[in-house]
Amino acid sequence: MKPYADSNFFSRIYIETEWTDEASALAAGFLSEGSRLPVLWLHLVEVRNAIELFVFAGKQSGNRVITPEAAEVAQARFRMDCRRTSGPYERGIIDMGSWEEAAEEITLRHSAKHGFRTYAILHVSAAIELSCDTFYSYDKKCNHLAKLEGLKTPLG
Amino acid sequence: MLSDMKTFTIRDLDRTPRKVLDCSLREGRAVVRARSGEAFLITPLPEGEDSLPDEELGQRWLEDHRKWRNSQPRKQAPTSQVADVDRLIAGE
Repeated sequence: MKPYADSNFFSRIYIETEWTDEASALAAGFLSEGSRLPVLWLHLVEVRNAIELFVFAGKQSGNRVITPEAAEVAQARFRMDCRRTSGPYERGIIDMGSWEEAAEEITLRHSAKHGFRTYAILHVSAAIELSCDTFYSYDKKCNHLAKLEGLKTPLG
Repeated sequence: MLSDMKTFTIRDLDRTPRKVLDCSLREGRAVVRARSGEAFLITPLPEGEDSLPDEELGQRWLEDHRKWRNSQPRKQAPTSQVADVDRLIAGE
């Protein structure tokens, strides 16, 4: 199995949620089986932003569960896991031209009919370009698109 | 900064590799600079991690991650906030 996970999967590993045990165990399981989750620049931008957005969402709702300090610690932990060679991630190498073509094809195949967002298009096309066969996401629409493109979606 | 680090030559690496590796272990890193100007950074892997099979690496990472989580305030983000963040990063 060659797994791919989108950014909402990664953010659940670093921010305490009801899915954190599951996502962490899955990442460790991939590593135990000799696979590592690819991390692209897209993940780096989105996961870092997601961690900060938990602080924002708390402020907006008046329920500040994730403090700026907790977010800072989570950022450092994510950064460390991305850098360590013995961790569950590897830097994904992807040709931008091929990724763009794959994203365009997927868009033309499905978006008019199903209304997929750019987020789903980018992650599913990246998974395909990286020759991954299994797609991990907590996003229904992402999983729907991944299935349409022939990927296994154990979480949805 | 590279200039702050102990710098060795290719000759040092060839003739006295132990000195280079000891410096890397002691200071966390050592630089080997070639005459051509290319520089190489030598850093030690965390203890034991290089020789562990994948299965143990997975267990070790999970254990390490659990310890890290336990050292943090264990307040869980409400599901509604998680959904808000998911929507924001997905551009909804």
